[in-house]
Amino acid sequence: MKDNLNTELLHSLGENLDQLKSLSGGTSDLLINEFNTGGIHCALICCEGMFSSQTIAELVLEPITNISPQPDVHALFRYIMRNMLLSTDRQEIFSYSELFRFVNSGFAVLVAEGTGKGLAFGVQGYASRSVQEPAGEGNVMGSHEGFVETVRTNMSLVRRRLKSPELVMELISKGSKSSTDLCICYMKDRVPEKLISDIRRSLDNIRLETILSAGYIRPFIERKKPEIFSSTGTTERPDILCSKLIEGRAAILIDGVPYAVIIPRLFCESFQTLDDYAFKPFYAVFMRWLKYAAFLIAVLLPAVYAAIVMYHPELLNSTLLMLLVKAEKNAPLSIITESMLVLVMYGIIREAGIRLPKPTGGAVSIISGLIIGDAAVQSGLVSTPLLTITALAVLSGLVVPDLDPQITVLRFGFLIAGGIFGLFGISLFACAVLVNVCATEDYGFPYTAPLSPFKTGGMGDTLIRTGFRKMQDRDFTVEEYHEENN
Amino acid sequence: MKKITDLQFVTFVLAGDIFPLLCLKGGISVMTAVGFAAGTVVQFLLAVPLIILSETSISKSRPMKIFYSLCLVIWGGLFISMLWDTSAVIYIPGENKGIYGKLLIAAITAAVCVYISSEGIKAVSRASFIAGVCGIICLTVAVVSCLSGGEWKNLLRAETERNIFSEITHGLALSGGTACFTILLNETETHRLKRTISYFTVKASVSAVVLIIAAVTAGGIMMITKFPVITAAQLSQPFQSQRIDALFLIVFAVFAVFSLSAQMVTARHILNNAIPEKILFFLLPAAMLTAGLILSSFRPGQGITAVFTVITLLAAPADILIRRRSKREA
Repeated sequence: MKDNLNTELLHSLGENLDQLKSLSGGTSDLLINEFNTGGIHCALICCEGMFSSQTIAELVLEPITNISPQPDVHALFRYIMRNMLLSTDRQEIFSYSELFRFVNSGFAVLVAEGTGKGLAFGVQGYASRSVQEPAGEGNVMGSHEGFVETVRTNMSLVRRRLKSPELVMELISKGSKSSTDLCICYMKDRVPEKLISDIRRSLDNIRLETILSAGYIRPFIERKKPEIFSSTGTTERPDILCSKLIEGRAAILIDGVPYAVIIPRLFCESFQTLDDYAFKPFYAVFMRWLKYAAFLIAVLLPAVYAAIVMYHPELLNSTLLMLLVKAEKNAPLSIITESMLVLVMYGIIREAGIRLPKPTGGAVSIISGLIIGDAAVQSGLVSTPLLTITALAVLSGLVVPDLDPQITVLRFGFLIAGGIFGLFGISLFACAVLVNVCATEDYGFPYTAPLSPFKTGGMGDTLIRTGFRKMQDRDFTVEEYHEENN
Repeated sequence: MKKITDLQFVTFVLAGDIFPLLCLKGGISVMTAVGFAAGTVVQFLLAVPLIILSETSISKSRPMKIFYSLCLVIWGGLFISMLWDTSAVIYIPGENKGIYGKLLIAAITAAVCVYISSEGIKAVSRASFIAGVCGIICLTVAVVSCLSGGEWKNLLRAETERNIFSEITHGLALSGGTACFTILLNETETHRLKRTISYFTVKASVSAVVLIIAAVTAGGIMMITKFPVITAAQLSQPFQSQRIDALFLIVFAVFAVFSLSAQMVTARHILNNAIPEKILFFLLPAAMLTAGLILSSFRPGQGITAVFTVITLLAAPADILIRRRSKREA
């Protein structure tokens, strides 16, 4: 079958159509319209639901059926190519695999008697979601447009913001069954050439049958060693992607996925939002430090609470100590079990909230908030301080949604370490995590830059957020952080 | 080693010097700080031949590879024995269950260090820098606390039985980063002098500050305390709470891990081509734990450790000179 797909188109139209029907297994959505034009027997092939009926009728069918008689099929194709602008996006095709790829991408393909090639015209018009506000990356002052599932719409969203000819968008196809379009985007004057060639090489290793989400390709462009944090990022905002491209990063847009994969990604970027650049620097700095604190609270608070209450109560002042002793005295479970229970409960409620059908979402809130939460405290199963601490940790984690998977798992890890070995255990686990984070590196860009390796210039947008007057003079590109350049 | 920045180099090596300082035994006075600073100057002078002569990697010379691996294992063992020693004054949950508790804590620490060292020198040095910055912040808090509430007359009151020469020896004996420094500097192609000066300057400054704070804070009870730096950390109360010393445990644990990891990762680095990675994975922690057990029973005197530090600094340049000479004769 695979060999038949790669064979070239035949010269006989009848045989070609038979072969097409055989290869497609007689699928109902393959539309073949035979007609005569210019005195030649032709067929227009397209896939139902993938093209715009209006476009194909007005721009292809109507003009193409009115061609004056031509001496042979080669003259007919020459006439169409040179004299008729049926579509701005047109290609010559020579094999069945190409034919199927174009037809299944919304092209109309013209084949004719006596030639082994076809002409493909872009008449795409499949149903797709309109551009909407991104659900996962909220923003107050910036644009409210987010990526959609159609790669070409996403390309246009980026192009509209970066009209420079330096912006390159390379389309490639991956997935032996899905033939998913991937678009590598970069600013050719900013991006290190080696980064692009390395990304292309990494993508060449993909031998998947389908690519249905960003998670399918990210492992191929990241380091093989186990890493807690990801050295590639995602965004569903075209404005954020543009800011990354300007900084000399590369991105991959995937057809069918409303996210762009950004390469490389740095740890400090998880704490930056577009709103930071919309407000005054003093407020942006305040918010950024709040996010750093929230990250630490989200990861460490339940563990530190358990460690202090179980092993180091001397750290608390007497009032707080008495308060906690009174609360924990009535709880039937140990603090670590209690904490684990509450965190697992939160995980289940969260997962249920995501997966449940929207109409039943309200019921989840009632069950989780009122019944479980209130009843657990009322019955004395969980102490109020612990529930408060856990709620604060969970809420803090939501401040940095980018790192939510890491925060969720690390919170458990630290809780176990702190529950068994107190602050000593937390310190040991923190050292291991720190080294894992520091080892994260792809294509020579350390994930922890500009903190370590320390770059003074990078502090202007990490520890603080300098004003745009200063930033415009800096002309920053991510290549500054590349280790082999230093 | 060009991929390690100067700051990373300094913090990576310094971890091995700070941890023994935290576990320092005996009285501390201004004389101790001066002695440690003078000891650092002596080490700098001893490092000069290394700066001038080193041209080939230690990992290419088999005798040096064996010698420095032993040095790193011995220092690793010393760090483990120091960790056990301090258990009397630092509360680590689980450690009070006799020898099994001690072994459990050492094994967990070693396991973390094994993982850390498996990530390579570059990752460890990046992490050491971040840990170093956190250490500096803690030190600043301690300094502020000392400046606001410390009794400076303690500085004059604090006395030790040692003279300046024995304090210099003391300083030399507590230089846990010397082996790492020699190996990594030997592989540094550029900025050798700059790195050496930076390292010894930071080492002398941090040692002096830590010792002075300890003398000011714990000066009054210096003669009855076993670990004055730990006691000083326990006594200083920068925040409104009952006791803050449990927080010191975090700094202590971080330096314990990084000092041990620095030895382990450097040993892995020089033994990488000689011994298979999988064997090193078990061999190094096992060797360090065994060394720790032996050294906690037979702790070498300060004089011996000081001589050991001097030999560590001079061995690499001596080896280069001998090889050059034999090459010329051949």
